[in-house]
Parts: sequence; structure tokens; C-alpha cells
Amino acid sequence: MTAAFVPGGPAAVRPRPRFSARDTLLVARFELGEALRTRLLLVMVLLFVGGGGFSAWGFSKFIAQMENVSAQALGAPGSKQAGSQLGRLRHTPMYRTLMRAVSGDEQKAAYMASLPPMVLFYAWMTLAFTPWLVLLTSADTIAAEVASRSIRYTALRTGRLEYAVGKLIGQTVIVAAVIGLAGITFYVVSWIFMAGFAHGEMARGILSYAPLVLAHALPFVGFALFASMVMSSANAARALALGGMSILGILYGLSRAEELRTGSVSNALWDLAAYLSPFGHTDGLLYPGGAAFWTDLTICLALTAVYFGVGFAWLRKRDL
Amino acid sequence: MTAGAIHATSSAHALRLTGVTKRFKRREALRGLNLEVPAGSIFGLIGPNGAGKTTAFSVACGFLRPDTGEVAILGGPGFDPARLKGRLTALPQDAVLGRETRCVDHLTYFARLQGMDTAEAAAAAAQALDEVGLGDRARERAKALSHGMLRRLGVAQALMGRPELVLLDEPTSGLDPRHAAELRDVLRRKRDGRTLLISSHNLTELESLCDHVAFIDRGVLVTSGATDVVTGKGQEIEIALGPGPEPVEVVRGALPGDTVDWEPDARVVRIRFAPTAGRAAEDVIGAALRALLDGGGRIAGVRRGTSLEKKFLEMT
Repeated sequence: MTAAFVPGGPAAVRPRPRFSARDTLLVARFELGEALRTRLLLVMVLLFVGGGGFSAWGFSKFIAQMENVSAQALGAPGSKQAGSQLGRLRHTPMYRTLMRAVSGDEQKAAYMASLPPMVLFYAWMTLAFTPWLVLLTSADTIAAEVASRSIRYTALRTGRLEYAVGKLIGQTVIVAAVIGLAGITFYVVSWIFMAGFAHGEMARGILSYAPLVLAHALPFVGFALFASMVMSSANAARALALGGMSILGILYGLSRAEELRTGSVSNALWDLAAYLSPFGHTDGLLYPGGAAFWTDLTICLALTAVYFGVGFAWLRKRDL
Repeated sequence: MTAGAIHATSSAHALRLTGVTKRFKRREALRGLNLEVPAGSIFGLIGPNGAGKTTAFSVACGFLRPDTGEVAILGGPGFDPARLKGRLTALPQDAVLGRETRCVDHLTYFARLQGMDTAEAAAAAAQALDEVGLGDRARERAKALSHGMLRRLGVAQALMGRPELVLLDEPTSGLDPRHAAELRDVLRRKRDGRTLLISSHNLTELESLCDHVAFIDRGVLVTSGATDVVTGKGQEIEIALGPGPEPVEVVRGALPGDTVDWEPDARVVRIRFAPTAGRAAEDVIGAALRALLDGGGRIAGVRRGTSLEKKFLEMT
């Protein structure tokens, strides 16, 4: 809509569109409140804390069993608590060699060897599962309000950008909270079940990885909101988020497989998918000192902005 | 929307739609709708189901983008949330409020988005809830409210603060007669220089509440104007007669130049006249009653103008 300028007329003065940070924070705070009221946050916390706690406990049991098996084979006395042998093994060249085999990089191996195994397990678990949980739970945040038309109460009072950014912030805080709570769970389980537990080392390890897990989750939040902004029902948004990201993941997998097999990627679509898929930028985040760290971190943040931006371009024009 | 000039809104109009069209796939909901809502009026928007009332509301509120046409609101072009913050509120039809959120939290949130600080928002929320009779339900979750209560909660959010233009789509739908009457009183009290645009199927309610009305049908304006003019209160009289004589010819003789019709089934004499400076509706009523009584007629009732309902049925 354009306006004719009428000199001197009050209608001729159109205020310059301004972004209201206040409104954005109000929307974000209400989003958090809604997550609490609707028990969404509770479900996410239960999934992460319950799932994280169970898997951390399972990891400690696995370590204990491995240690007992190896002790038996060596005729050495076993240990009731997991990690006593692993703690000693961590400081041997053999463990470093094992880490190099896992990571394929000497510097990365050195970094990983410096961390308690439970921290690596925490990083792996949260990097693997947070994206899917995010896609599942964040995708309906706007679409459900469009379907119920409750968005109209808000859209009358603030801009669509403030609304959408507020939702993004709200969802990001929710994801950050559950990642943090999962970290605490791993910390506590490790404290209870792992021998040679070092508070400082474990805390530093989790604190160094938790922000990276969040950074890795952000593109998925962006993609979930993209789906939520372009669809008109919660189920459709969830299907698009999960389906779309699955396709990107499969294309990335094909690209990665070809790269490993031939040393390069011939298919342009697969190559593009490798860039567009956040899955393709996980490795760099696992090693904060590595060459790929800043590149992958920047790409993750850029992908968040791109997914969110494309979704918002649609939301800005659509009927509510 | 068509490119080109949009005329600045005259301050005489709180809302103006000019040639607005809106199509949903194959159905054209608005077909060049022109609507002018005078500032400070209580304006009734009337139309059959599917006439385009809710679409017109939604276009005015910025929920729907018109395909073509121009919208001017409160002295500016189109819907702009920054410019209209706190100045335009609405009760959207069929918009659901979050079930798990308490009534007061909904209203406080909306009030804060309207620009109020925390204390102002809390006060505005409490006042609005009291006004719609939900003061004692403030801390209940929306899911605990009945349909009528949810409607009143919706009205409450539209009445918070000091909006200049309030759009209410079916505000009394689902309310019991007592609450509907109370809500009408609230709306009258809330007028205070505001413009209220109300759509309703209850034409008796609109007739008692609105000083201006517009009929729309199939997406176009049928008629619009002051309620008295549309219903012919200044140009039309209906006199109902009880059983007995029907001295219609006596009335025709007493009111030469006016149109006098007799509806035998309803036993109503309908008189249409052109008011002049020296001859108002009261004068015509007096002359007609005298003639009827002289002719032995038994007066059962007198009404100025026709009902909004009858007018609506005639015109749509």
C-alpha cells in the first residue's frame, strides 16, 4: 500500500517503521510463560534430563563392564565403580591414538583426550538428539497460533517482525535451558557413578560444550520457525520441519559418502545440501580450537538467519 | 493492492475502505467494498452470513491483505502496528485465547503490547475484567471459562486502555440476555469520543446501540448512513391498529402529498413523508392519529421509521 503525500495533512506523516525491542522481549517472555503453562518445557526437560540421565548412567555401566572384562582378561582385580581404569588410560598414548582414530585429526584428538569421557558423551548425545527434539517441539509455535487465530490478538498490537523474533528468542531460551539441564544431569550422574570424578574438569568440559551444542541447535530452531511461519497448522509445520530437515540430512549423507569415497562431490545438489544442512557443520564444533570451528560456527549462525529470514519473508506477506 | 495514490483519511472518518477487494481462491469475499466509518460514531456493520463483514474487519485490522483497494485508518494509510499501537483494538471473530493462560495474564500481556507499563497494564486488565463481569475470574485459566465468558474476555481485551477505534466482530454472540444487555451498557459508557465498529446479527441490538449503520451483501456496500436515516425515523411512521375500523382513507385525506399504505395482514398504516422545516415527524404523527381516531380507529402502537430488521430484509 502506498500513500499519497498531502502537504500539511496529518495523514501525510507516516512514522518510520521501527523495530521494538521491548515488544520482542514481551513476546519472548510470554512464549516462555506459555511453555511453562502448557507443560511443553516440562516435557522437554523430562526428555532431556530423563533421557540424558539414563544414557549417562548407561554409559557409566558400559564403561564399568568394559573395564571389568578387560580386568578379567588381564587377571587384574575389577572395580565396582566405572572409570577407574579409563581415568588411568586417558593419560596414556594409547588413548590418544584411539581419539585420533575417532576424530581423524591430531589436534582434535589431543583436545578430546583432555576431556573426561563423560563430557564427550554429553557432547555427542546432545548434538545428536537436540536437533530432532527442537524440530519436534518448536515447529508449532507460530503455526498453531495461526490455526487458532490467537496470533490476531498479538498482530494487532505489534509488528510481525517483533512477534517472530520474540518467538525465536523464546524458543532459543527454552532450548538453552534444556541443554543446560541435560549438562547438569550428566554432571550429577558422572559424579555418582564414575570413579576419579573431577568437579572442575567436568564442569569446564560441560560449560565449554553447552554453548556449542546450542549454536548447533540454532539452525534447527531457525528451520522449525521457518516451517511454522509458512504453514497454517501445527501438524503441517511439524511435518515440514522434520521432513525437510530429514531430506537435507539424507542429501548431506550422500554428499559425505561420495566425498569419502572419491575425495570430491560431483553432484551439485548434494554439495549444496552439505552447506545448507546444519548436520554438515557438527564436526567443527566438536573441537573449539580447530580450523573448522569458526567456519562451522559462523555457518550455523548464518543458516539460522537464512531459515528464519525466508520464513519471515512469507509471514510478513501472508494472511493471518 | 493497487499501486498508486492512497488518499489521506479525512479526520471525519476513523476508518475508510475504498474499492477493497479480497478473494479466497475462487470465492470473492469483498468486491470493491466502500465503507466510511465516521469518527466518534457507534457504527453497525450488518449483512447476511458470508456478506464479507468479518473479511472487512480483518482487512481493517491488517490480518488480511486486500487484493486491491485502499484502507485508511485513524488519519493514516493502511494498518501499521507501530502507528496504531494502543489506538486500534479489536475483537476478532473465532480467535482463540491460550487455554492454559489466566485471564489476567492474557490481558496484562496485551496491555503491555499496547505500550502500557507493568502497573498500568495490571490496572487496565483489572478494570476491563470488572467491566465485562469477569473480575472474580481474573486468576482462572481460559480453559475454565464458558463460551460466553470467553467472549466477554475477548471483549475485555478490546476495551483496555484508550483506543480510538474499536472493532468488535459479533461481541454479544453466545452471551445470555443479561450479559448481552450489560455489555451494551458498557459499550455505551465506553463511547466517550471513541469510534466503535460493531458487527452483529442481532439487529434490534444494533438499532438500539448504533447511530450509524451500513448494510453489506456479497462483498459490496448496499447502503450506509445515520441509523435514523436508514430506518427512515424522520420520514416514515408506522401506526398499528387494533381490531375494528380501518379508516385509512381518512388518513389519506388528512395527509395529502404523503404516501399512506395499509398492510391489512399486519394491520399497520405506513406513512412516508418528506420532512420540512415546519413539519417534522411529530407533526405528521399528530395529524395521522387525529385522523385515525376521528375515523374510529383503535390505536395499538406507533413507531417512527421501520425496524432495522425490516430494512435489512428489504435491502438484502
